[in-house]
Amino acid sequence: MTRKNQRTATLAVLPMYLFSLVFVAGPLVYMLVLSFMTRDGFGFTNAFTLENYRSIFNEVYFATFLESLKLAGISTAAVILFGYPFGLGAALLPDRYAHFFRTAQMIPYFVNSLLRLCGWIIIFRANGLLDKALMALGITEEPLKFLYTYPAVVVGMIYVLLPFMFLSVYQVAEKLDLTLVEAARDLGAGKIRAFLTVTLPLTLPGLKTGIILTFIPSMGLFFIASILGGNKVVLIGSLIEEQLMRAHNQPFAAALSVALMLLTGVVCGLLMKKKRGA
Amino acid sequence: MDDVSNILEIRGISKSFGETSVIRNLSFSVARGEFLTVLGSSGCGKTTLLRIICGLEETDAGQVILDGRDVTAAEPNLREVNTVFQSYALFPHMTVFENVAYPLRIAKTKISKAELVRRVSEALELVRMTGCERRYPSALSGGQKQRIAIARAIVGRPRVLLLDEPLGALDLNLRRQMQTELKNLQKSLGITFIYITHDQEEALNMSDRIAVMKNGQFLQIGTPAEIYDSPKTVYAARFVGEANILPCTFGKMTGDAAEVTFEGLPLTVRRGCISREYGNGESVPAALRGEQIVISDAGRFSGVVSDISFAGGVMRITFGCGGTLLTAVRYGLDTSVKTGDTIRFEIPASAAVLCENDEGGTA
Repeated sequence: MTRKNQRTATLAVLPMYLFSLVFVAGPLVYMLVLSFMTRDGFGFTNAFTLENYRSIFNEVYFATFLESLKLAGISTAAVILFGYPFGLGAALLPDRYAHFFRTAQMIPYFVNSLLRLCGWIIIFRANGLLDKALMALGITEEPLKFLYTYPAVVVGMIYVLLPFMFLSVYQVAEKLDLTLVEAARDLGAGKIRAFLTVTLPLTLPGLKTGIILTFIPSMGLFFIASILGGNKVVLIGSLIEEQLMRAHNQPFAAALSVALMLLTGVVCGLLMKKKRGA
Repeated sequence: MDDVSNILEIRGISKSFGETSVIRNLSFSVARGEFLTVLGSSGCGKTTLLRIICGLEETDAGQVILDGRDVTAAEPNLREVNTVFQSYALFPHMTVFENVAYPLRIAKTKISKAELVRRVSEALELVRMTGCERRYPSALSGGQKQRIAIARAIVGRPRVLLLDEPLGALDLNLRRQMQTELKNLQKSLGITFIYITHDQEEALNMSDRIAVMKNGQFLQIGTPAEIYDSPKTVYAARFVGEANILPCTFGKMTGDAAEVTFEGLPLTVRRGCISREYGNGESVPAALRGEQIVISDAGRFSGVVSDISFAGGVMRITFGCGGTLLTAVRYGLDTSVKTGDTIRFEIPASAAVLCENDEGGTA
């Protein structure tokens, strides 16, 4: 890059940089400081304490962390299972069909996500569409009462997060040079071997992006658990909301948030660790 | 037919994509250790033919026999045929070493680490790329990628190596150098090469035999000298070397020679490789190489010079004779002939050769 281009580029990113500094980095620092302060009635005093962090390891709160991690793990795994083959398959189709699948994936997202989630209530509720369909087909004899169960929450998570995986994988798989797969086959690799040694490593960046885009939100998405889980599934997101809005324990809410960030940060850091040249 | 000296036999293969017939009832065989070039312009079906041989494309009809074994239905990984792809197809996420080691690592017969390293080094040595083991393909030049692709294709010692216009993306000097290297490599390895190109110079330079391909069929298959001396059709004559096509009238056949008339004068031509008979008075094309035209005042034919070019020690004199434009080739500069001059020339007996018209593309 020439010096002039560099200057132009700097000017172009400067507003965004300042915006991030003031509205993203600023609150983060504030939150970090807040997490070390002491609760005082409905407010807080700036007496330094580690008590907020100690509380996280309280049995109840720690269990919430584990519960969130479990749901995020299950959801992410399910999204990989459905999203990766779907994204890869769609990208390898002839252009017309590939574009159709990509567009079809995105159209529902023009509708508000809460509204779409409420649609699942109609399907999952007792004697709802799912129960009626299953009973009509003679698969079950009485209503399943699927709504407000753990699997219902997982289905909701998959539904909301699948497009992130699909699009991340699709984008990378679209650029995959199929001659490379043919070369692998020609050089002696069976279909599975060629997939494992060529297709998978070359689409791994898309898969990793998809995992990050799925895992991070799934740690925080508490409204799905609220709507489809009926608050039976308490997640770290709902705990933070509760501490902040109802218990008015801002320092503890901040400490929980910092802990959540650290947790997701570590997971993403492990994923992003790049192999040289890949 | 089951000649064990043939490493590869293609029997009556055909391939269509939708309505388009790409390969039409094609049969040929390739001898062990032979360097066969399939020469044709783009769209003639040569790449499809190669993909059928290596198993990446299924044939609609016919058989592919590799070293006596019918591999028509075999998966590409179960054929001892490797391909050097036009785009090189090096794995971008692997180093040069890993790329070349790939066929050995996935092979069913496991070899020791030391043996693996030895064979990879040996292959890299053959293509003179020792020392690049740790680099990634993105850090290599086109010529280097080419060499790595070849090393990767030969390291598993295939019975047949297929090369799909491997030199197409290289500049002229490198291409000439690689031609020589490929030929030497083929000789030292003793592996059968099937080389696909649209470049007649490459074909003439390297091959034991050339197959001229058009519209999914071989017009002619023979040694470079045979095809140059006796092209079977007008297309083959024009595609391999430069050729003048004389519109002649057929007289009669006497053994391997034929009496024809060109521009109203009798001419003796060779019978060549034609597969059909001509009748008296029928018009017939005869191919004549530019260097065989003798410009001399004693010549029976005359023409008016329309263009002269001089390049690389070769002089091309283009002149009109009747309704035909002919080009004579002379070596060295001759300033006695100028544009617009009327010259006299002679076509020596047996210099020209009968050929066939390519009717609708079929030979």
